[in-house]
Amino acid sequence: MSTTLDIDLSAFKDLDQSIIASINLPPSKVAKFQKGLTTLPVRSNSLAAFSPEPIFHYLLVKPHDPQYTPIINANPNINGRSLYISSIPFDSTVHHLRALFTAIGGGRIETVIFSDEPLPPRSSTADEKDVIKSKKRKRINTAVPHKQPAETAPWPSLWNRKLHLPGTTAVAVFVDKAACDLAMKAVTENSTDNPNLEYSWGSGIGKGNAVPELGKTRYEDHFERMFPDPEWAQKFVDDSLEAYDNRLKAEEEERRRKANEPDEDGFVTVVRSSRPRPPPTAEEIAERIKKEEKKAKKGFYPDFYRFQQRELKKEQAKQLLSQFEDAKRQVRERKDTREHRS
Amino acid sequence: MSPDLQPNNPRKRKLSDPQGDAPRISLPPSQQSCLKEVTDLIKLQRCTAKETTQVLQAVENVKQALIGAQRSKFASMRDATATFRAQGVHLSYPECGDDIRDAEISLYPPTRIETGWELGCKTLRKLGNGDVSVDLIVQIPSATLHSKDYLEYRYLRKRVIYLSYLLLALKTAMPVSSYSFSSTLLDGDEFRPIIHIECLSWCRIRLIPAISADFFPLDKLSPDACRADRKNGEPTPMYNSSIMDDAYHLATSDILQRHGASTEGFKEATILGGVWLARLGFSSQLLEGGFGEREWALLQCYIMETATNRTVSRYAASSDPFQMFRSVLNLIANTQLPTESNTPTLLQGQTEYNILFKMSRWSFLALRHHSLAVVSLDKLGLSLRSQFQRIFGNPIYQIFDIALSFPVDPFQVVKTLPAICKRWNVRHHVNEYCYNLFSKGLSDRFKIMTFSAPRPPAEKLGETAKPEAGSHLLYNLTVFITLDEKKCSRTLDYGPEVQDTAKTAEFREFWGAKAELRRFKDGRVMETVRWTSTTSPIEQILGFLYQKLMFSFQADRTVTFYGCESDINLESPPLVWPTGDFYETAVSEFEMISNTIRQVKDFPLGFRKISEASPALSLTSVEPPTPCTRHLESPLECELELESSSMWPVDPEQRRRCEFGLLLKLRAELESNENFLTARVGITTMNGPSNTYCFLDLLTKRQYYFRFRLKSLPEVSSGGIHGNLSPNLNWDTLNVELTTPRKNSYPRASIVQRCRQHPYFPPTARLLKKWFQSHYLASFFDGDILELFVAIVFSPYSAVAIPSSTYCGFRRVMAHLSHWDWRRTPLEIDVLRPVPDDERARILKEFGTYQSTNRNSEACLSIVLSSEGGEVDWVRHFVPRLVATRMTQLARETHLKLSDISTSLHSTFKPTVSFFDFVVILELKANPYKIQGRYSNMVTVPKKFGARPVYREFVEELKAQIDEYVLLFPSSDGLTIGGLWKSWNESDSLAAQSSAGPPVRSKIQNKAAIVGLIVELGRGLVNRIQINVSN
Repeated sequence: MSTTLDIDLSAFKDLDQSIIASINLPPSKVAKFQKGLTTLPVRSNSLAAFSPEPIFHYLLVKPHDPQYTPIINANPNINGRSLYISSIPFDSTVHHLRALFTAIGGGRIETVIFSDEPLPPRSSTADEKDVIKSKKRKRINTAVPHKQPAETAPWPSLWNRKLHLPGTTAVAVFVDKAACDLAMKAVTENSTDNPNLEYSWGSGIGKGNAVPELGKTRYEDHFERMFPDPEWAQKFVDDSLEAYDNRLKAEEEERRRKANEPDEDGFVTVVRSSRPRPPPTAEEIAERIKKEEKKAKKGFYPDFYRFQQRELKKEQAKQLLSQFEDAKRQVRERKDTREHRS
Repeated sequence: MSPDLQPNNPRKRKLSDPQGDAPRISLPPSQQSCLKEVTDLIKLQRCTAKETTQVLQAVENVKQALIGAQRSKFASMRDATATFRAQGVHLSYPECGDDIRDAEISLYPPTRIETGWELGCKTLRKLGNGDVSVDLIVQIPSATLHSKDYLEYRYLRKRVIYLSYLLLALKTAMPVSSYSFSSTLLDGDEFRPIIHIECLSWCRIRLIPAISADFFPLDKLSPDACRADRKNGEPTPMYNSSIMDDAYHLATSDILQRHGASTEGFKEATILGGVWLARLGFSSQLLEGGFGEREWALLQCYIMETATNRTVSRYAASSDPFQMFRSVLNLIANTQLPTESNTPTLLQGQTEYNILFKMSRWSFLALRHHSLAVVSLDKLGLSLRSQFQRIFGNPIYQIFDIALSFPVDPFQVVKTLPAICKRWNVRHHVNEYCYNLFSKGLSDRFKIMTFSAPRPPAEKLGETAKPEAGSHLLYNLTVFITLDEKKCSRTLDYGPEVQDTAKTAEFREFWGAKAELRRFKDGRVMETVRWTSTTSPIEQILGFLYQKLMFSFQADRTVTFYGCESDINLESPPLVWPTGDFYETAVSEFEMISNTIRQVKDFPLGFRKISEASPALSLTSVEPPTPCTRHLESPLECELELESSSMWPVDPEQRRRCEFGLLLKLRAELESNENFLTARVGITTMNGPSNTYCFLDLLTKRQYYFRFRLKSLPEVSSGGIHGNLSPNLNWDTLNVELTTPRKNSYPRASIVQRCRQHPYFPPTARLLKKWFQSHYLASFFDGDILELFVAIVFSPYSAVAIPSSTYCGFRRVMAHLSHWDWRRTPLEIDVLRPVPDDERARILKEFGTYQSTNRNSEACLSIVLSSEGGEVDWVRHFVPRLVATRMTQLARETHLKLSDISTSLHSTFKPTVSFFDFVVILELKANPYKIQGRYSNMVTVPKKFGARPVYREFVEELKAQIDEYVLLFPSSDGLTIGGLWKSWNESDSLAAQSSAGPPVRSKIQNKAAIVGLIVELGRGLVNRIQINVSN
């Protein structure tokens, strides 16, 4: 069990200014537009301890087309005031993006919808039918109550801060269309040809919006969260299972109720009872035994069918033949013994 | 049906068939050999027609030169020697005190010159180095010899002079630029020097003098007769046999040539035999077993001539090469060693010529053991094709379990040897002496023992005579031992009962102070030797025997052991830990917990099974399960299986909550138990936040940390094909195994279960896992997959023995991995039952279909498991192509290194990081393998988690974040993480559809941002990042 490094690192060099310069990707090497999206370089301070040279993360931004995603189903009123952001940093939060757009002179962000987070419940509005023409509407159409029932209450969060996997995108919803336009304009102005060197990712977040730190402390916090308080856990399970049982009961009752009532067309749905059969009573058992005895007494008729009669005859013929053979053998034996004696 | 194809129809006898009267058995089609495979193998071995023609031409030139030799007559042999020396020809020959130096000698051209039977039948075979060796046998004229010359080395002396005469003729007649000459020994026999003629840069002609079979009275050359050094009166078997071999050389060559020309399949079977023997290290050389291709061919002749013999295989008269090959093996397997002699005996026809005269006791027993192993394949019900593949497809040549090498000084050794052995073939006799000593000491603990001593070097002609040069120099003797896995670890040796005085005295003389008298429960009093259990008994015995050997040799030299368990386990730091206290304590703690859980009352459901899932509890984890002291380290994973019930909720989410409730109930019951320090129920997620699992953590009073999960019901398998168990990082590297519901885990489990019956399976699995860890590959391979790799060498349907040492098991696994082309063939594991031919064909077809349709960018390592029920299960393991290629490359390097036994095993575990683009070096504080306190009775409850789980979480998150751009290689020691930039095309092809919009990515890899991400995510964990600047 060695505690020292026993590997040969002679071909390697520590991370320093020259090394970072060799792997760095300055904004001048990145295209301003990529597949219709505008590149927004954001300075990152993650390697500031190794080199003063700025390194950048590149966000891709474009005006959001609500028809394109199912987000609009959950947020029908964001049309025209949202920006679609791709290639977001792994540690992005709504606070990070707010601070970013504030710093580059964009509008104020109302909310950010991340693609890896569940969509908020849909709010029904009068004019939604005019706005949404998505085929997936029906899927979301089920009425979701505002209050989370105990049955579907979420498990406790195991992380103090959610990190986004690569490929996660975000839709930044601005307070109004003007703010959104302003933000898009700021993105174009601060693109790769004129990157904002003042602002660095993560700065400018207000004290009230403190984001938990990454690294070792986050993992230690995670291990603490893995073990919830037993009392809370017991209540969580009890409530959940009780609510589940109640729902099942309610559904069963509803089903039974419907079984006795004719529907609009006058039909009554036939429902198989899920209730287990009650154990047989003493009378039923006695009756069954009586039936079996009667059947046994009655017996069966061996010559009921014609084939049975044929087989019966065959059996009798066989028996006669064997009796005849036996008799013959006995006679022969007696003869032999007599001859032997003589 | 054609008459030829009808059963029981006698085959037409060929006119040229010399054994026409011998019964020929027509084999059913199912038993007919795999001709294609045999033909392919033979084709690889044979010389081409062009090469054969070139060799023939060269041999013809030599023949002409020999025929044209001038007659010579010398007044004395001394004169003859002096004359030849003056002309630059001298063949060294040890002085032996012969008294015929003054006798007159006449030298004439050879009476008869014959090529070896291989060239005559045009079946020249290439040697291992690509060279070709041809025999040219010359008959010494009778006029040169006297009928009494078989006594007192006279013939051998004259033979050397005649050889010098031939050499002079060759040197005179042939261009020195095209032909070079050297002197060596015929099959290492020091009695008989021969001349090597090298030509064509790849062809070697052996000029072998011989005599007529009826010249000497051969009946007087029986092994028990004394014909040399008659003053001593000791039998001279080797001397006698050497002369007899010379007498029969031409006759046997004629027989071989006749059979080779007339018998179908004879030549091919000889080539098969030659390949098999060469792979096992046997050859005609005296020091290499004394059984080579010529002896093999003679056995084939023996079979042809004695086809009615009952001891011979029923395939004796078959014309099929593979059947003939098996017949010879059958013959060897059924030949018994004579009790009164150490030399195996098999007489050629009606003659006195012993085909096996060059073999020693050790080499014969080893050869017979190998033959029995191959013959027994037939009894296992394997088809011929399957047998052929197992015999010739096995990449392992040296199957020894342990080896020891020590220097031998012949001058000191000869004191203990008989007089005749002191001067001639000393190395051969030393081998025999050592075998007698070692076999007596090891008794039934070993199966095969072979010896390897360097051949005496070929001498350049014309050098000054050095009588004791070559064979009397200090040399290294290596002893290879294959052990019996069931008996080798026995700690008590039983000797004779005390009543048997003679045997008791002999036993005590052999074992000395080690011998002890013991009284047993049944009242018997016996001599015994007891070995301690701390180190391997074999190593102790070999150490004792070596001391004994050195004492008898009156020398004190160092011995080197190869393949000792102590090299692996007791080195500092050890490669892997031995199966000892740590593992046993953890297993006993697990049993205590499972008993406690079973005794819990008022639990809603009964426990069907409580099983271990952690490799540490099945003794196959690299790191031993140590108790926690200050921090909670990674727990030992276990599974609880509840009895089935119809009351489980149908909704999977509600089922999970129900399981959570059951674990809470179990915790409440166990909390008050005094055997546990803590009992906690926790929650974790697997493969995404929506997949929540619960577990019960128990910390025992002896501070062993266990994690119990409820085992889910087995899912219905879909077509028997499944991929990797988890796309996440495999945590076997850190002694933690995630327990996801697995499909088809039954055959895999039963295979591993079967293999675990072998005592050396767990340590071999540990060593292989360590090898994968050392080379940064462990995170890509599941622990079960690695155990399946190990299971290959523990198959009972193999032509070689089950490994009886960790070293042997590891070497053989490496050999298999290095020869496995995962692109073209699946890895077959036939531990439970062999795979029939038709099933194998189906497997290959299915494999081909899958590979052609598989569009996955990763490499698919397919493993086929033959289950007991007659079905076949597939395990498909996907790893990046780079990782699979590196595995094969490293396995080849390791296999190559270990082929040389002097290579240290540790050197094959040395990690190399030079192929990484960057290396992340973590804080030493976070080292999960920092030495922890061992077992203690502290009752304090550790509060915090140690560095190992933190490291695990960090690597898992990092992998998820940058897997698209970087291939990560986390080390097993928790100190480093290697990284390779993925090529752009690869990462581009991995682009996934986003649910929120079109898949749009930056087209350029932003390496600096990724390095920044590593630094950010590993804040407090990452010490520094090193970038490779060599490229």
